[in-house]
Amino acid sequence: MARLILMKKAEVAVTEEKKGKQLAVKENNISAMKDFYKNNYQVPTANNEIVMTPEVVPPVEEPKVEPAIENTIINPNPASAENNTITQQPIEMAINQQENVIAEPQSSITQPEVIEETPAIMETEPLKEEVLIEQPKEESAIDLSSSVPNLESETVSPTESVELNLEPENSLKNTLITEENEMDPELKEIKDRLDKVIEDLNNYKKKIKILETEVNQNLEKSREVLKDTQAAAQIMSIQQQRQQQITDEVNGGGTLENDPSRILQKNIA
Amino acid sequence: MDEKVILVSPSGEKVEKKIICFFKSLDDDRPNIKNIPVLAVDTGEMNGANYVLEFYWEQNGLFQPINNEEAWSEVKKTIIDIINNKAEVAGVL
Repeated sequence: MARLILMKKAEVAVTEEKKGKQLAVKENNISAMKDFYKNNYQVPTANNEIVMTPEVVPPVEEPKVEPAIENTIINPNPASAENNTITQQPIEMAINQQENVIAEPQSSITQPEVIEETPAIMETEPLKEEVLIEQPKEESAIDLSSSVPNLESETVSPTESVELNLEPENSLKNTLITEENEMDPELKEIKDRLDKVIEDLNNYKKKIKILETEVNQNLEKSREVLKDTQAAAQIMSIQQQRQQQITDEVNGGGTLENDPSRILQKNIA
Repeated sequence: MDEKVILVSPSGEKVEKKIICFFKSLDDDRPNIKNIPVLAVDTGEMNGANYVLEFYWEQNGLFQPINNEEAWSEVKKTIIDIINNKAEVAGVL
């Protein structure tokens, strides 16, 4: 769980660079953020009056208003939004790290970055840690064993993202949302921990795969070197044999008694 | 009623914006934004069917665009936690 302190100021000083870092967010996500901020900032007094306090106080333990969160999509590509892929189904949220959707706050023609939540990715989909693989809680409730790439994995390509088509699972998802909301807080915490463990395991799996690939590559190289070495050894052996043959021939045919001219002289004598 | 904030530039120009969220993260695993105020405001603009938000973070007393990619990544993660109801409020300021 992210731990936050909520703040309020009437005025803030900004730099001349007036445009902040931008994100394009679905309306229901904005509502969720607003509700989170407003509902948690207001602290009831002893008379049960709601006031905005300027002091640092712990939050009052009262039931939080659950935002009507559906899967928030954030299709990073505005073109695909035009294809109604977002509007026709519950929205999933993912973080898209691709450069083409990153907004330059200084640009006058600014395309805001679209925040997109990548779906639960199968083992074959390497994702950088920064890509939010995390599904909404209902997704992880559906399949706790599905690999959920970590946002911050360092070995995964930063530009890859995968959209999860959740359309067939909407009704199940809604049911799971309800069930999960009614879940015991302790169970929720355990579930969150399990999700984290699964996430970590999947990260390790990915790293192991990458290491295996490297090991295989090194093994292949070693085999090639070995082949080359063996070939060189053979060549040397052949050369040595030839050298020996030459030596033998020189030694064998070099004595005076075996010299053909001497034998002829003996016969004449 | 929407919460609002006035952005005051060095030249004295004031612009009022609606606050979407205004927070400081306390998480150790988000070191680039830990204890740094982050302000999310509604620009009033649209990008297709999406609403455009602007994010600022406080540096040396001034709120400015988040120009650090690691910090920006951490802000996005925090936003997603908020949206997915995985954020808890440790206090208000």
